Amino acid sequence: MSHPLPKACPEWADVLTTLHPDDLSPARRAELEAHLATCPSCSAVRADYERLERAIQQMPTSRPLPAFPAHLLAAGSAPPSKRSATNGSLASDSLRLIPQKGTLMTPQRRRRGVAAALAIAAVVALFAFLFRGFTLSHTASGPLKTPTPRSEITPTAQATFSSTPLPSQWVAMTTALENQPALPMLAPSNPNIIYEAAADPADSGKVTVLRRSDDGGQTWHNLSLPAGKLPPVDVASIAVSPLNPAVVVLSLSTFSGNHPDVCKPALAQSGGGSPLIALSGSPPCTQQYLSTNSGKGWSLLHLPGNGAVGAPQLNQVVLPNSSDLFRAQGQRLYAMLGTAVISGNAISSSGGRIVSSDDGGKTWQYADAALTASGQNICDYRPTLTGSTLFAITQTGSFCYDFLTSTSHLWRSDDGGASWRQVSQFPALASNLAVVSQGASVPLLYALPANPYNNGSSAGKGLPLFVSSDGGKTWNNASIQGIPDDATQEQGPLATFSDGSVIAEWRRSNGTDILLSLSPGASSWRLVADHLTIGAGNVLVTTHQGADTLWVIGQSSYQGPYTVSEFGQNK
Amino acid sequence: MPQTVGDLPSYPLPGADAAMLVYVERARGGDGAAFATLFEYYHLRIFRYLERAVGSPEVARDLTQDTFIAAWSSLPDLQDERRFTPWLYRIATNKARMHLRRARLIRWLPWGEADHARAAPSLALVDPQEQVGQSERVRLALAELSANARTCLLLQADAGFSQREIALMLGMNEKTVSSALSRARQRFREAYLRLEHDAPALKKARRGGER
Repeated sequence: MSHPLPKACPEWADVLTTLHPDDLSPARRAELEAHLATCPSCSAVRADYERLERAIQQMPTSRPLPAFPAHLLAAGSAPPSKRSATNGSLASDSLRLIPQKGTLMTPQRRRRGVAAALAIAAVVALFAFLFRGFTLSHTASGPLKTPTPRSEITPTAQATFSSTPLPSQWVAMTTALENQPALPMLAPSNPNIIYEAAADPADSGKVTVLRRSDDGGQTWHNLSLPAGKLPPVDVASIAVSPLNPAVVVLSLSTFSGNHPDVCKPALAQSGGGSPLIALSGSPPCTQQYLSTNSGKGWSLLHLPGNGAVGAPQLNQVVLPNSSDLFRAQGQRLYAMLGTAVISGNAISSSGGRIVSSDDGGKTWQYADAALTASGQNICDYRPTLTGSTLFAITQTGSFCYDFLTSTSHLWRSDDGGASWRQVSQFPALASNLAVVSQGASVPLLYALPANPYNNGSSAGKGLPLFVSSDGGKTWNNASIQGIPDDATQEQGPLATFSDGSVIAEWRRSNGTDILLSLSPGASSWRLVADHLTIGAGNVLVTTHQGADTLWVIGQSSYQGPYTVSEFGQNK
Repeated sequence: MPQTVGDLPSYPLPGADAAMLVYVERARGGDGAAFATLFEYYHLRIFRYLERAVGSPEVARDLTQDTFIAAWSSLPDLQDERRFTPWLYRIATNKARMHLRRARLIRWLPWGEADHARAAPSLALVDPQEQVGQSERVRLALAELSANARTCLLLQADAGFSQREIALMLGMNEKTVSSALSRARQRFREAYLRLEHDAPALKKARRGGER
C-alpha cells in the first residue's frame, strides 16, 4: 500500500465495521459514539465504511429477467406440494424460459444457448416492432373513426413522433439529490414547480433536505423541515394540490418491524393475533404535514381518522407516489387514505378511505361512509372533473388486490360521496380506474384487470384493459392491437390526454419500457414514449394552451432508498 | 393465531414483504399465479444481489431464474413463510457460490476468486480511456474478496440483513459471520481506497505508455 490510510484504533477496528442497526447493542453503540466523538482517526474510518456501503447500494443494476414465464407455470407443472420426487425435477425444468434440448448440456453451453436464443428473440422482436410501427402509422391516419392524431409513428429505425421526436434518451432533471424517499412531485397546475426530498440513507433515515424549484428543476430553494422530531422514513410521499401549487402534503411513513420504537403504540393497540407490522396509517407510524405556503411552513395534517395520504392501496404502500394523490373536482379536493395492518398471516385492510376537503386541504371529511358500511374494500376511486360524480372500484375478499378470491365492483355517487350505488360487477378482478369526462356526455371509464398473471393464459401483453362507454354499466375489453408482441404489461391506466386517450406502460424484451396510448374509439394503441430504461412509475399530463405535455417521473427500483434516475418530459 | 416461530428471531418484515405472506402461503400450496406474484415482487432485488455477487448481468439473469425455479420446487420444504425472504436469499447465495466454484475450476467467468496479489490484474479489463468511476471501483474491489466474504458483505450492505439473519440463512455461527463481515469490510475498504488513489496515476501512466 503506497498511500497512508486512516487507521482505526485496534480495539475498535471490528466494532467500526458494524453498520447494521441490529448488530450492536444500544450500550455498545453508545460507547462507540462516545469514542468517535473523541477520535478523528476512527471517525474517518467509520465514515469510509458508511460511504462505501452507500457506494455498493448505488451501484447501477442491469436489467433483470423481463418477466416471469407465467405460461410455463400454468402449462405443465403440478403444484409443488403435489409433486412426487421423480416428477419434481421435470416440472422445474419445464419452468425454464428456454427449453433445454438435451439433458447433457454443460452449464456453459446452456447459458450460451440462452444468450443466443435471447439475442435472436430480441432481433426478431425488433423487426416485429418496427413492422408494427409501420402498420400503425397507416392505421392511425386511415379512415377509422379516430380523433385527429396528435402524432403518428413513422417507420424509422427509432420510432418517432411526427410532431416532436420521441426522446431516445430521457434527461434527468433532478440528479443532485441522492436517497430520495419519495419521487419528486410536480405541481399538476404548474409543472415548473417541483418539490423533492432527500433522506439520510441509513435505515433510520430522516428527511434531511426538502426543496422546491420554481423553474423546472434549474434552481432550487431549500425549504424548512417540519418542526419537532421527524420520524424515521421508510417511505415518503409528496402530494401537491392540483388546484394550488402552494398546497403540499408531506407524508413520512415507517414500518414497525424496522422501527419498533416509533410504532409501538400501533403494535400495542391491535389486540388478537400479534401484528407484525402496521404498514401505514396508525400514528405515529405515519406522520403527515401540510403546508399551504409552498413549503415555507408546516403543520400536522388533520384527517378524520387513521390513514395516510399516499398509501391508498396495498401496492401503493410500496409505491406511494403518484402525481394525483390529490384529485380535484371543481374546487373540491379528494384524496385516499390507506390503512393496512398485517396480523399473523392475515392482512386486515379496508382498502382505502375516500376523503374530501372544501377548504384547500386544511380540513377533511369522509366521502365514503355509505360505501364502507356495505363492507367493501375501496381499491381506487376517481371523481369527474366537474359536477359531483365519483366512481369507485371495490373488491370483496380480504384486501385490495387479493388476486385470487375477490370480485370487483364499480360504485357510483352523484352527490360527492354522500350516497353510493353499485353499478356493475367487473368481468374479472379490476383496479386502477381512469375516468375520461368529455363535456356533459357519459364519461368513458377504463380499468386494469388486476393481475396480468392472474389467469395464467395471458400472453406477455397482459390482459386487455377494461373499457366502458356507458358509465360503467357494461365492460368490454379494450384493443390490444399496437402492443408489441414482446411487451409485457407494467401498469395503467396511468393518465389520460385531454382528447380522452388513456396511457399505459409496457416493458419490452430488451428491458426498456414504453408508454402507449389508446384514443377513444381507436382500434390500436400508439407509441407515445419509448426508451425508458426504468419503470416510468408515474406519469403526468399537463395541458397548456390546448397542448398536452407528458411528464415521466421514474425510479430505478420500487424499494427504498429511491434513486431518481429518469425524469423528463415529452412535449 | 400468530405463526409459531420457535427460536428464530422475528424477522423484521418491511411492509411490502409482509404483504407477500399470503402469496408465499398460496404458492407453497402449489398456486402458480401466487408464485408469479412473488417473482414479480422479488426478482429485481435477487437479481441485483446476484449481479453484484458474480459480477455479470448475463450470469446473474441465469442464476436468478435458477433461484426461482429452485424456490418453486422446494417451497413445500419452507417451514415458516415469514422466513421466505432470507430463504430465497439463501438459495440465491448457494447458486452464486456454486457458480463461482465451478467458474474457478473451468475459468469461465467475468471474475474468479481473486487470490492474486495486490496488482489487481482485473484492472487490465478497464479501458484506460475510461474513467474508473465509483461503480467500477466497487466492482473491482468486490472482485478482490473471496466468494464467502463477498456474499456476506452483499447480504448486509446491499440486502440489509443483520449478522444473525445471515448466520441463520447460511447455517453459520453468528461469530463466524461477524468476523467474516468485519474482514470483508476492511478488505473492501482497502481495495476501494487503493483504486480510488491509484486511478488517476494509472490512467496517466497508461496514456504515456501508448505514445
